[in-house]
Amino acid sequence: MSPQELSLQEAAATIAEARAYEEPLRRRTEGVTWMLWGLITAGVIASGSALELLLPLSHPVYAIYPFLWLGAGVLGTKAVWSIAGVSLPPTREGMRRSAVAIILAAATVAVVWLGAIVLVPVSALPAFILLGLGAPWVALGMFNPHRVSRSGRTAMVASGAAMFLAALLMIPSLGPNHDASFHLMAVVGTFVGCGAPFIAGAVQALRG
Amino acid sequence: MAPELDPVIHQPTRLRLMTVLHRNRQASFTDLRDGCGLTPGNLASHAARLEEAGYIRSGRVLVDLSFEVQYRITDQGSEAFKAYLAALQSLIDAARGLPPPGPAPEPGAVPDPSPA
Repeated sequence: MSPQELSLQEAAATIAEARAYEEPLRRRTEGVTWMLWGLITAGVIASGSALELLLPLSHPVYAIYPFLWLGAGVLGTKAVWSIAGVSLPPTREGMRRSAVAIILAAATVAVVWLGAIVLVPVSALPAFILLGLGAPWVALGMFNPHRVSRSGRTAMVASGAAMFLAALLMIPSLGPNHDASFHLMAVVGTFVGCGAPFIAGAVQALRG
Repeated sequence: MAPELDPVIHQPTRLRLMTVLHRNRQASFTDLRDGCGLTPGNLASHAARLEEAGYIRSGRVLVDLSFEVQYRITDQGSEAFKAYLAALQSLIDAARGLPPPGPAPEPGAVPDPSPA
């Protein structure tokens, strides 16, 4: 077709139709989202470790403070997707998927924590905190309730697996010194928990 | 004088490619082929035309253990596309009988009665 054959109306229609194709943008936005949640994970671990210097682990604030981070993550995610101009999934479907993701994450955390309480000595608790944080990542990556791309799933599973591996490697070094074990977990967890989703997300965000 | 539409962009396939690349900044060969519904040969020839004009550039990136061609819109291409959209808007407005877009008048300014 020569340029003369394209009318103004056809040109406008072509632009409107092509604008709807935003798969590469969606994938890059997904990458930024993983980077954000990597930082949120690191924030949860680092601030929990800082709190442990001030308050005993039995204090109720430990049950509350992660929700501040989760709230920040949800707000940040919504902001990133709005800036990208990509619509989030339809509300009902999005809520259903989020509910499945929350139940899945909560169930895996509960299983790991119950295992920790019943089976594990106190000295191994820091390693099980890492397992408790890694388990939801693996579960979300495997069952993929949000139907993220292959890179996103890989990021999730890699992140969770890295935390599992770090926890296993830590167990031999855990001893009666609870503070030292806890701080070792905090340092390892901060970098491993943040690193895997952050790096995988950055690759996806920059590569598209 | 009526604005002219850039002939490099004003072609159905190239207009589609430029729109997708302007919106997404970059896209792989596969994404563009599927997203624009093109054959590989058609996509390659029109992408080459846009690349000759300096509107896009291509490179190879490693994706899932194999290299894939990636296209990225250049600053020149982005400016050309914005100018194309402005020209298209002017032409559509002119066809509808609307005045061409210009700077907003100062508050309280008296319109110039003299003919243009």
